[in-house]
Amino acid sequence: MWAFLLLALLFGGTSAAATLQDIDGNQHALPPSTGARATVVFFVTHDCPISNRYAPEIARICSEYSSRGVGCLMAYVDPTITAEEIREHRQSFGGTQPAVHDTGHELVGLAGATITPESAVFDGGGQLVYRGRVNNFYAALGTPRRQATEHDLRNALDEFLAGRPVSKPRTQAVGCFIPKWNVVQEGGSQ
Amino acid sequence: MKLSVTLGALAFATAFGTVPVCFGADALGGESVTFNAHIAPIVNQRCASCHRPGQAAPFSLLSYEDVAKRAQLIQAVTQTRYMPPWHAEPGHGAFKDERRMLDAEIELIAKWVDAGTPEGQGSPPEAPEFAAGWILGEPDLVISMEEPFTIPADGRDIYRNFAVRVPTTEDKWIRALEFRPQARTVVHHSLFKADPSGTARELDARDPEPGFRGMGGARIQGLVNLSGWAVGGNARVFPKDAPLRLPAGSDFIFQSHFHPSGKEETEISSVAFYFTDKPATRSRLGIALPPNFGTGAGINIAPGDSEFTIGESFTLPAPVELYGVTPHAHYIGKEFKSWAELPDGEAVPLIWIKDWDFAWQDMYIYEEPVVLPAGATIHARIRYDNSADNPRNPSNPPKRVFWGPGSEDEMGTISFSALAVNSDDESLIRRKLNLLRAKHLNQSRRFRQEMREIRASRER
Repeated sequence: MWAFLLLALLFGGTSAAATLQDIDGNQHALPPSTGARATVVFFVTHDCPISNRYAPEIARICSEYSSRGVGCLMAYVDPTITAEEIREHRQSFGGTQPAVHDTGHELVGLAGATITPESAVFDGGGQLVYRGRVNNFYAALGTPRRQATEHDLRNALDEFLAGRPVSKPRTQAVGCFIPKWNVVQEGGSQ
Repeated sequence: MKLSVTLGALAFATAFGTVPVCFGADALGGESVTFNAHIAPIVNQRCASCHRPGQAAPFSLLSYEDVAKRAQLIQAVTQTRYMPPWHAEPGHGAFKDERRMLDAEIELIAKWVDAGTPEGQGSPPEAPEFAAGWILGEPDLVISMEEPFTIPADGRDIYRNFAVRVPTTEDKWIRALEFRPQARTVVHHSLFKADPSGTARELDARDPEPGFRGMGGARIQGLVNLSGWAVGGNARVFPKDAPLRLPAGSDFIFQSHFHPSGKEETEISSVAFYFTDKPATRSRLGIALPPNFGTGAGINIAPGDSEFTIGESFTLPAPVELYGVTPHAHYIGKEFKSWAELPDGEAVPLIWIKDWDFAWQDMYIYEEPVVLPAGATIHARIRYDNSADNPRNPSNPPKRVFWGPGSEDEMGTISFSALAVNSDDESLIRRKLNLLRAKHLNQSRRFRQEMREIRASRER
């Protein structure tokens, strides 16, 4: 499966010139278009507690939807951390998804993301079909519900995979604002 | 020159806790707000005690980079007053360790963010030094949880009690306590109790996992309240002439709240005791309004009702000093308000929590004890929001809620820790408090019967 996705990543998708290298050395096209039916980009920061608390749900979504042609990509958006810190973070939170360090906020810009955690779904042609919260577990900062009652990302994926229009293509994520640190705007994947 | 004047005024306002004047652009004399001159002092004073390595906060706020890259987040959370976390309203009791920013400080942060987070000339003031190890020095005794408790990566918040045997053979007098969590990212708060009855130890033994479940400890008779700790809190130091008695052979109970962090964590909490040889010359009075965690207050909240309120009042037969207050309710508790009505009719505000958050249980300690004369009446009101609009409502859709120990039940009390001004008056005050408790115990029997009837009629 991953070999296929990898090939798809390398050769498929749009002819976008820009690519991002993930922390394992693989190149990802921009916009992310894996050749599978859709790609979910999760914007995360390693030190935002809300972002971290979503790690188990993100892992579940990626695992459950992978057989339906959905690929996942973790986008670490704090420009100031190192690739080693990203690897450590991914390991301690049990992540298995490819992870890019979006130092120049190219992915952030493509998706229009402002918050971590926030999710963006790109279709096979690189079109953004959903952007927003994973679910409504947090009503506000500091106000988690007992359990999520609206699963916006899963709903969007289900609708998209069923060939229906996504009924709520944009939702407001609750979490940490994406950190800005202009000095390293020009940085590469390190 | 103008800048130093501004900062001096800010320091003055801070030191005296007064409501500050707003610093508009005029007050800054047209000079821009910079990190080194304006923002670093605020962050050092208001944020750094938790936002530094090894503490509970998720990231450090010590350097320009730490702060500047999170400027938008810091602006947002200070404007909504989510941070620093402090849930009591200003002007309703002055409390120790108040984690509250002045309006002027919040405004300066906003101006700095709007200006593009400039660093400024020179260097920022030195970050404050924090004591390494125990804040109060070498403790007389440190005890720790007997088994580690594992907090899973995911799931609901966990409320759990842990009984720890205290190796003392005689009664001890506690002058101070200091709590130390191990897994700082997941330990949110811990309330401390002493249990001379052995009940907690039995409950702990009966539960196959470390510790035992339960929200409030109302099941255990004779629990001694020893204060507590919440994220951001410091050591607890008790009044000199009123150290807390730790009965010989007691078990210490950590009543702890954990929130999963996204990865598995293991906690072994510790507490340091500082004893004194001088026994209390005054003993602590618990003035809980309503008493018994509200069991006799008629809690019977219809689904959708956002105005349901309980209350109780107590007229002091003798003068007391209030030194701390602990509000308690579960998830749909919304608003707590207490004030004293003096014999001449003057009202003394004691505490007001507008938007109760069960996750922020705390004992609020008055900066200076509040002295109330004989004849003063303490009023307490607790409002609940059992509507679907309350995101903290554990039931979706809302259900009818009665008094009970479970997380979907409710309780309610505003509990004052008090001392009689004259120790001779203690028994007089206790007798009157016992009468109030007895009244509520009687009422609770009636309410329990009503609850059974309502539940039975719905099942038919």
